[in-house]
Amino acid sequence: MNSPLVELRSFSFTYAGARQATLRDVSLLLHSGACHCLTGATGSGKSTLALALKGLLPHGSSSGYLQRPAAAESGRAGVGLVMQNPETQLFADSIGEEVAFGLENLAVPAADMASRVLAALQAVGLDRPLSGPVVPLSMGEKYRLLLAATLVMRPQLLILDEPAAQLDSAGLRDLRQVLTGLKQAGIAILICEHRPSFLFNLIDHFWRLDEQGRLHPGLHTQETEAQPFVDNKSRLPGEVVVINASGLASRRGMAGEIWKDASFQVRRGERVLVQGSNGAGKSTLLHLLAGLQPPSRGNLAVLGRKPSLAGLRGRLACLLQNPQKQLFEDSVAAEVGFVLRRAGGGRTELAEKVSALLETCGLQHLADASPHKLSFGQKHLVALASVLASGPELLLLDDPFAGLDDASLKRAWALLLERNSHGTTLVWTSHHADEICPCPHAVLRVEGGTIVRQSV
Amino acid sequence: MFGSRFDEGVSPRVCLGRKSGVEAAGWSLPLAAKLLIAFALSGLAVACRGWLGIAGLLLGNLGLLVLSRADWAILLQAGRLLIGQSLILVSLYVIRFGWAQGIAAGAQLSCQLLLAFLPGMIALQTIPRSQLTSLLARLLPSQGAFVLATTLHFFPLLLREMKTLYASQVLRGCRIMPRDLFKPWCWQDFVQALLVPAVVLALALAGDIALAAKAREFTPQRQRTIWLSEDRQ
Repeated sequence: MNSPLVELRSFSFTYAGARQATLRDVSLLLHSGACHCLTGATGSGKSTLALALKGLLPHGSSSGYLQRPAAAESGRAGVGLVMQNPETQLFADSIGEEVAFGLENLAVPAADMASRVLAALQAVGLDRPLSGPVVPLSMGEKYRLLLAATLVMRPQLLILDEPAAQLDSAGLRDLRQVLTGLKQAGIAILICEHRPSFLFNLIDHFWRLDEQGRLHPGLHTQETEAQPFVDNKSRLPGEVVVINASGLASRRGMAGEIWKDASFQVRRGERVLVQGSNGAGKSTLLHLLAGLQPPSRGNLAVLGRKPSLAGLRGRLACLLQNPQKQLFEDSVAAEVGFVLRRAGGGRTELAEKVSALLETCGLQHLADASPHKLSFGQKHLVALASVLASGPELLLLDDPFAGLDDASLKRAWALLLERNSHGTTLVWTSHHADEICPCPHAVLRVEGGTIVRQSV
Repeated sequence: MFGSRFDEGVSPRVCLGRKSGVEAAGWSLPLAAKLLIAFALSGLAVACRGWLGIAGLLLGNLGLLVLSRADWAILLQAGRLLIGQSLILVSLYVIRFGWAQGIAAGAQLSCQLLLAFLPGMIALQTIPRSQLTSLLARLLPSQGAFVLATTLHFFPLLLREMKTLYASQVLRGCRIMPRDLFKPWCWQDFVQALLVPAVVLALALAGDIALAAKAREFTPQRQRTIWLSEDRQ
């Protein structure tokens, strides 16, 4: 067998200031043309291992042996890494400029750039002019752009961190095709992914990082992935209409109307899934419902009134992507109890309410812990508990659990179901048809330039 | 379309020559002229004395806006900023100098501050980062030019994130809406729920951007080349 591209032997890494190692005694061999998949719970160290392979580990102490493809030389990069959030990885205004960024850094002559940029864009199926702006691209298109921007550097090893969190089903299908081509071209691929079912036929080796940061080889099958919830707390929705839209239309920037003529109703206690591909306008719909932006046409009433931040405060809650960024208190109990303190009431009564809420969320053992020092999944739960504290009548969730492992996802949905059984209406977006989420009463399908309600 | 080899050569002519909507819209002020006018207007705003000068500068900014083909929504943003900062400045001036002198002096300073920043906002909105980088690269080392251009474009991203944060905190029940800020007991919410997370957000965002740049082989030590936008190829 040819010599490995990557070799780790008993590699350990501890972040500066951390008490425990994030990676412990990790041993791994990656060869050209092989596709490996790294699974593990949120916060188990998958991204840290990816950074180690790219040579981007922050300050900390490491031990063991790590050999990886040589650093950038003669117009190509040794390792290409695409991280989770496309928004923070985009540097340019135009598509051509964005893809060429890596070539600029590799000091590739300007005259040689255009052909490489076009080839990379073609490989990921992004058929846009080089001068086209980056901003209006959907999240899935931005991910493809980043993939092109990485492939243009012709890496020997390509690492993708949680691609399924950003791509819809069609995007994942396309990604599988791209990766198949790369594998045949002899490029080694490492995918860090919770739910790699879309890539089963492509992956040669599965690995799992446990909570202690140890790497275990293992066979991952679709059966080992968490199965969708069984709806055992079913409650029939009431008759009161909480969202009433008629002839609704919305535009995004200068791009014109993204959907129009949307007429639908949502009743109290309903669980409604907003589904559509990347860029279809799911988030825009939620922004309209929360009063963050006005519709371009049509009528919309939420909880009996025209939506506005002031009018919906305390009645509607909204959990957006990466909800942990809204945390600010020193302890989990204070964070969850913030809204209750604002509502007034005695200290004892407040403590009782907070305690009950923490118990419901399974967070009572973390009551005194700083929310900023919790794991990624725990932060999500705290953020969810903090918005549920006000007892909202309507809860909007804009794909807030992207990148969350199955165990954390199940806990979050169990909490949401419990609230729904008390009458809270849930409206959430997803670009995956097979998400582990409670069976919705209805689906708002955003496609073909309009929104259609379908009962389930 | 998918699955094609990424390293196969493709003729650059496939897409070259096509312009984005903005570029195709018509003539716009040349980059260097735009920057020079923006610097001059900002400088004059600092030096300006009296309402006549402010009115003149306002006209100058409107001219820059038209010639740069900028989005007029920037005036809405500027208007909001003016109201917010005027409330604070005028209040402080009234406390220090009294009603008679405080209102006019505070309002004038507020307008000057806005007019010092507005030309930069207009220029940044209408100058593609590649052009800004290549212009700055004539004055600075190429790495420094990239860092400066990225820093200038970091603020709109941060503002977008802050807007989302603000909305989710308001809906959660935080008392941080403009009308709340008239009540001093709500200022604690403003600091705790918006300012502190915003600082954390800014630091995290800056860290993520730096990491992403390194992941695409940006290093301060290595010399860079610069992509020529299609109209200059």
